[in-house]
Amino acid sequence: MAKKLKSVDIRMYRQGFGDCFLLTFRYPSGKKHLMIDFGVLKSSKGESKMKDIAEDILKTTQKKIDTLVVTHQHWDHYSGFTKSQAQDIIKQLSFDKLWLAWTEDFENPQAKALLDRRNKVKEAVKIGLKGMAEHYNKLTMASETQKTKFANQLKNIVGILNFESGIDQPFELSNKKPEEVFGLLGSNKIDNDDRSLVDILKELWSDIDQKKDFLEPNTMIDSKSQGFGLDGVRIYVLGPPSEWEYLRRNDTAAKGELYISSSLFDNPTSFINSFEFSDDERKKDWNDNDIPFEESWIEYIVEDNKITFEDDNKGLRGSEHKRIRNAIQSSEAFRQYNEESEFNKLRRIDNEYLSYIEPLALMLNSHTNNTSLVLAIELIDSGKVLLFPGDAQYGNWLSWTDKKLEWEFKEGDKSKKVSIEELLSRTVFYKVSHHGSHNGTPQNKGLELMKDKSLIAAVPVDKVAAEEKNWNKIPYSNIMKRLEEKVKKINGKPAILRSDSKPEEIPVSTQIRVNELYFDIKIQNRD
Amino acid sequence: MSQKSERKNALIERYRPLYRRLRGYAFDPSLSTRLESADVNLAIFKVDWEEDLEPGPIGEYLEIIDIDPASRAFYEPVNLNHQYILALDGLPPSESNPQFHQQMVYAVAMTTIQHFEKSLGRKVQWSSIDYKKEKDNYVPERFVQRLRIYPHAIREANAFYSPQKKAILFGYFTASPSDETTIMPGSLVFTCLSHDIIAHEVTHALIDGQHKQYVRSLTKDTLAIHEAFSDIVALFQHFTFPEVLKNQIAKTRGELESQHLLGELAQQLGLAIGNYGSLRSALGQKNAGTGKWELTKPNPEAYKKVIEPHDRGAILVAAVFRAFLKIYKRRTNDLFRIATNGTGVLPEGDIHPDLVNRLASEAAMSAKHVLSMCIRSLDYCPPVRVTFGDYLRAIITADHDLIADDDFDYRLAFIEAFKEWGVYPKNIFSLSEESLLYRILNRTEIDTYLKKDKSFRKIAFELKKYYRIVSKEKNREDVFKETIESKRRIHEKIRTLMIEVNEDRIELKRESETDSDELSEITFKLQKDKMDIEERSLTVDFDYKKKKLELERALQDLAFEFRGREKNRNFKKRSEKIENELKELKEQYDSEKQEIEKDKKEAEIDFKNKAAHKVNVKKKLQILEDLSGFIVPLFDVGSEDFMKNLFIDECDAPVATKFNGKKFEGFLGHKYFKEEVRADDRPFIKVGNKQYDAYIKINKKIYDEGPDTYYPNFQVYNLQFAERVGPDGIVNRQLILSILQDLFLLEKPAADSKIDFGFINNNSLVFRGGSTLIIDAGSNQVKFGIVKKVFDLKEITEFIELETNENAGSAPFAINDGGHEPFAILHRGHTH
Repeated sequence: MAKKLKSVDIRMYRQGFGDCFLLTFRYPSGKKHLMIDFGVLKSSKGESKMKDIAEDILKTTQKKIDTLVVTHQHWDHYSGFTKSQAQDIIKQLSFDKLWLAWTEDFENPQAKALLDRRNKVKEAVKIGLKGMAEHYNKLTMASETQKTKFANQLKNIVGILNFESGIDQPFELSNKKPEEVFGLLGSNKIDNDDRSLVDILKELWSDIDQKKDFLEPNTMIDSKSQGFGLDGVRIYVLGPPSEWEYLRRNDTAAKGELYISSSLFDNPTSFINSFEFSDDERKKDWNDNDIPFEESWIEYIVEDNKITFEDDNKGLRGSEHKRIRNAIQSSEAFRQYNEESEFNKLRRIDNEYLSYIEPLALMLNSHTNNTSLVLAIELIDSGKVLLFPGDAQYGNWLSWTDKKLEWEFKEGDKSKKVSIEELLSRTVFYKVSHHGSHNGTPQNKGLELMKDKSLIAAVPVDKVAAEEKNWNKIPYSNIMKRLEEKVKKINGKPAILRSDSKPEEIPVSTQIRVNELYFDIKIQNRD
Repeated sequence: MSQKSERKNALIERYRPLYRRLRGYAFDPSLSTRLESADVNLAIFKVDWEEDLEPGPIGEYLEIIDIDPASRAFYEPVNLNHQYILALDGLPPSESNPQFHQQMVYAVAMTTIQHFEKSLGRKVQWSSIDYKKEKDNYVPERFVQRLRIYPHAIREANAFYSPQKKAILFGYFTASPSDETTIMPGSLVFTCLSHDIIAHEVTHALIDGQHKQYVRSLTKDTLAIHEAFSDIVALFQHFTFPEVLKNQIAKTRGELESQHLLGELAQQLGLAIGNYGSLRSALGQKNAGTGKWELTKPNPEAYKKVIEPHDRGAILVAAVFRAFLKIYKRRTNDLFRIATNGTGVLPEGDIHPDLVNRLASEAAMSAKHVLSMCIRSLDYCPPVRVTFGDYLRAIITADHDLIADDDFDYRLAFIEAFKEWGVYPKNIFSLSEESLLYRILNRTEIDTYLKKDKSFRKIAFELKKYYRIVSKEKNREDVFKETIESKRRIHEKIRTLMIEVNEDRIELKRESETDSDELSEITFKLQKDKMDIEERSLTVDFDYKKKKLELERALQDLAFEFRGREKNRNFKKRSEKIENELKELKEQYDSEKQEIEKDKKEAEIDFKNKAAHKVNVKKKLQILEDLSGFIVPLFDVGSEDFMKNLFIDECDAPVATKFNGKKFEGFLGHKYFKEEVRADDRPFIKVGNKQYDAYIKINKKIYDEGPDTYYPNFQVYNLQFAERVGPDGIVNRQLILSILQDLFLLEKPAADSKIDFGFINNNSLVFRGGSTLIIDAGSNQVKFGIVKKVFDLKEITEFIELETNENAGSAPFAINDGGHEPFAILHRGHTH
């Protein structure tokens, strides 16, 4: 007979832009704990809070929790475990189980293939980035605004790479001038980052190999599962999906995908290495295989912003090369492109092809988000569900309803079925995915399916920090508006807990407690 | 060269071709690898003959420059005047020959340009290089001779028009199809080989040439219209290829509601990036579940909900296509009746080739009309804040203007189709053609004023002058220069009008300072004056009577004194003197009385005139405001208050250069006088928990001699001449004048009521309004006025909401681009 679960306390830490949740399950006989994520965005002021949070976790749990969950390998979800933040403190914590998504298991060939793909893209982004940085100094662009725009693009890409890195200390960007950012690119920091989530955690806990479980979608964990010590709850695994078709999707609009990047993503090595980023060997042998045509072309060189041609060309007969060169050089088209006016400088396209790198980096970021481990925690007696989707984006969400996830199990003697729609409709606590970004919470396939009137939403976000990074639409106002309508009201205020809320905005009640470091939300295990 | 000597030969000159025939894909290369469509995919584009076409090709409108920086390659420019190429109708279609790529973009771009020129009735212009301020002088707007096209600019599944570069950048990429049977994975796909993508991007450039403001998203619809319109042009150009049309009519048995190639856009791109079918379809799409093609049903909810520009644009495309279907049906009803003996049910199997031909010609005709209706309506759109509803009104107005008899109910078809998609124009009371027309209210009164009033007449004169010059000018650059010059002069004249109106209003205001109520003031003054004159008259009467009495008494006294001695000389002398005095008194009195009467009359006339003058000023102001949509604030340059409320706007003119004594137009930020707003009495614009206040700029013009003048900032933004021929052969000659004004929305700080004008910078929220006036070139009569009031509280609020909430791109981490490449970002999420 299961021990009676009385309630669950959800402690949402308020470190800023980043996730950390400590769940305390209360039984007549005592407490048990489950912890989800431990990270904060670089540069947000919350960094200093990470040590305090670690201390608080140790104190609250007596240094022992049942299960540690790390949803995905993004800095704002695991940074606390690194040396630069609270590694020394948090490593005193012990746990029975470590849950990671199946995508973190590199012995799984599919996960390995995904990782390889991701690494290739990452590599491509890095190559592109370095190329862009080199370009920055010899820009042919006419206006300062354009230069600034280009520099901002670079900073933005580095910012995204920060998320993806496995390094100890991503570099601080917000106050840096573009030139300084490029300086950093030369350092090996950006190269030395291919550690996996397991590698990172092993630094703290050498014995995790015995404790780690890689969770697959459409599975369920309860007290009957091996090594799992929480009674009175069932934990449903919703994602990440195993199909590439879902993992690649990051947006709600059917046509809203970042197509370019996705096609590059599908085949990252195919075409990405344009001349600028090729190694010397390849440049020397630049030929028909590297460009789209077998004839009618010649290679050019840029000297002081002027397009010129070498005397001979590889791969083409000398006379043919000479003919084409003469034809081009005597043409109006060539003269127009080389014209020295300010306006023509603006019209030239010497660097435009580098513009794919930013969307590619974005795609990489979304892809990692889609590998988020998504857990729905059901309190069996009351039927209440707590939803922790990590940073799942559209593809991850879509896979649950598309594939009509359904769990079948025995309850006593009876066999029981639970569908994804049912879980969502019984959700009373929703950790808003991806800090409230516009593609973190789909409307029809997500939010609208949550029908419980007592819904509470938690948004780990820091708008100021996000705006510093130019992420002006996080959290996305339309989602926040809809959430305000959907959640329950406490003293007239919508039950939305944002880490960056001002004191007067926070709905306080017997159910919700607040201090500077965290929110405590009590979920009773009864109707 | 031999060519040149041939040119002199009059005999040969007689055969100078009208067209250059160039081969190309009717759709894109993917259709050539499918058996069913291969034979229809080859089209011959008939492009206007350009005698001096340079290798590139580089001609009057376009310069194709084939540099590929990612490959570090320069491709040899094609010489379309080479005799072999001429004899072959251009290079044969080929994916592997870059010179064919150049030919393809040239052919499709020119075809699109020609459709525009035909419909608009004038030569098209590309978007100009903006005027800019450099230290102490202005560099005026500059002419852009040719749109630049880079067929292989980027390695992305993307193509975009760059308003800044005045160039179209096409990309190429490797295919990663979801269905590997449709297109070879890993094969190269060139966006510059897709008719639809080329037409779409060139249309972006053409719209930008006319409506530069449309890249600024002041309403949810603005960018959507840019996208939709570009799709509409690409779509209806499909119907101009006779072979494709006949083939598809035969295939669908004349029922264009079912699936056909004509309604699909960018097949290859769609397939290559892993879509199941084409990138976009105006009609419907494959049901992802069943794989079956389904007709999209009009969904009136979509217009309320969909925000993203491409998806929102799709609503407009669907509505226009629906209108087309209705027109086509209307035109072919009889043919179907004949073919089915009135049953309406076609027999099984293929339809008769004659019927195919007839249906194809009706479809081509309908498409041609719809396309030119859509293009022509661009002239009838407001300069800013255009919405789908405005677009419908523009279509109806433009068509009504050119074609009086709507025999086939085209206009009704449009109205109905838009209605079915839930697209309703704002501020009208019914959906009848009459109320959709952009008519000008009280036109006769306006006409009289425009003719009578000196200041208005000066503006009209400039328009006339412009028409005289431009209607004869054929060279695009000269037209541009004349237009710039006319715009400057028209600006000057409108400015003068505004200054005059302001001065008159100030004068009137001063006069009536004591009493603000116009009517009672006039009566009061009139009565006061009447009383004054009455009093004067009474005084004169009194004085006269008194004096007369005195003199009469003196006469009586004298008679008493000389009683019985009437013949005394002295008596005679003295009485005569008094009598004379009496006479003089009477004369003086009479003349004074006359004077008073005159004054009385004059005073009355004077006051009648003054009242008329006042009404006149008000009318002038009202006409100015009604026709322009502007805010014309009242400001008293002489008053202390004016100077106190003046703020230097650093972003437009540095203080140092402003007073350097040269003739220089400087900008001064000025608090917009709220008491002049009649539209609404709310002092602040409230959005959410923020408050905004609206300001317009006051310009100061400094003269070498004479006093400085001040006037509200505005732009003469567009001036065009169009000469369109209607179906009945009547030529419609019109001038299209667009003017606009900026409204700065500054957030009001919560506690302090003082607003820091340092906030006016490039990131300030700027709302715009203005109008497009359609003016008959002969009579100078304003036929239609498409006005967007600058101060429209509802739209301002929506704009602020849009700016602060909904303009989210598809990528949450995407940086704020600052509007440099609006289409690159837009398209990156979507591809073309």
